[in-house]
Amino acid sequence: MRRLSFVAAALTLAAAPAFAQPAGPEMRWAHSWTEAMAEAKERNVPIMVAFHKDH
Amino acid sequence: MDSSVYPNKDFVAASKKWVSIYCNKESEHGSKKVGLDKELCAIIAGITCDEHTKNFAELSGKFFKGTIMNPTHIWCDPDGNEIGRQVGAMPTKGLVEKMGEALKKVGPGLGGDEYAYMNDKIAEGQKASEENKPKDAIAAWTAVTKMSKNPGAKNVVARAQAGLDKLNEYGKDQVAKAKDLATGGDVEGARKLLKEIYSGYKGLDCAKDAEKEIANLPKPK
Repeated sequence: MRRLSFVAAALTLAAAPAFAQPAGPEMRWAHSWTEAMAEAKERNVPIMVAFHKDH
Repeated sequence: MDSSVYPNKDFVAASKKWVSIYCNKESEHGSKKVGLDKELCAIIAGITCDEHTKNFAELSGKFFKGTIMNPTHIWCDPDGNEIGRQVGAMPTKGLVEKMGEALKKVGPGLGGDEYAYMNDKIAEGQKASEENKPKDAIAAWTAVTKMSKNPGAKNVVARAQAGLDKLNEYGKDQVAKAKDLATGGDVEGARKLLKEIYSGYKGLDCAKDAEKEIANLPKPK
């Protein structure tokens, strides 16, 4: 039987930003500013930048 | 806020409407082991101390001239341009309200849960395509393109559509090859190839083309 020489290898869909996946009901935080902007642009949502220091 | 606002379930739910990034140059709070070989920040979910210190180094210069006030929350458009900020600790409700104003300015967006679902489906389709399972790839990517009515989903839908378009292009090439086979006298070879495209690529135009070409072939003896 003829086997189709599939185009899978040629299918290179743009990868989504790989954010950390929380185990429970936790916030998702971007790993980097580049990732944050990439996801925000793709979703058309704002970015919350939180600056903190240890107490 | 690290231990009061951010873990608050109402804030966690609301935060799915935007993207969050944490900046802290200190790491004395330590890390915790997650699984066998992962170490994550002990106070902020899902990121490492190295990441939040790098975020601080990268973004403090962008958003502050001179003294850096902590805590400060800054809300930005998707291009990273500041929309507003508030210095000092904020209650959950206040921060959610401020982010609500930013959401209105930016326009309709895609929720975090929908985004995660669509990315999972795109990855599922990619895996199926790599495993020569076009039917599964089409099902996964079509599940994403069906969400095109959501105006915030258009960029993710476009990624899935690109996958479907490439599959369709490949299918059409195969239909053309089958026609060449038939013209060269290999009618049964052509029929077999067309049937594969017809059954494996349903939902795409190439499957309809294959169906038409099957009907045009001489009947099997």
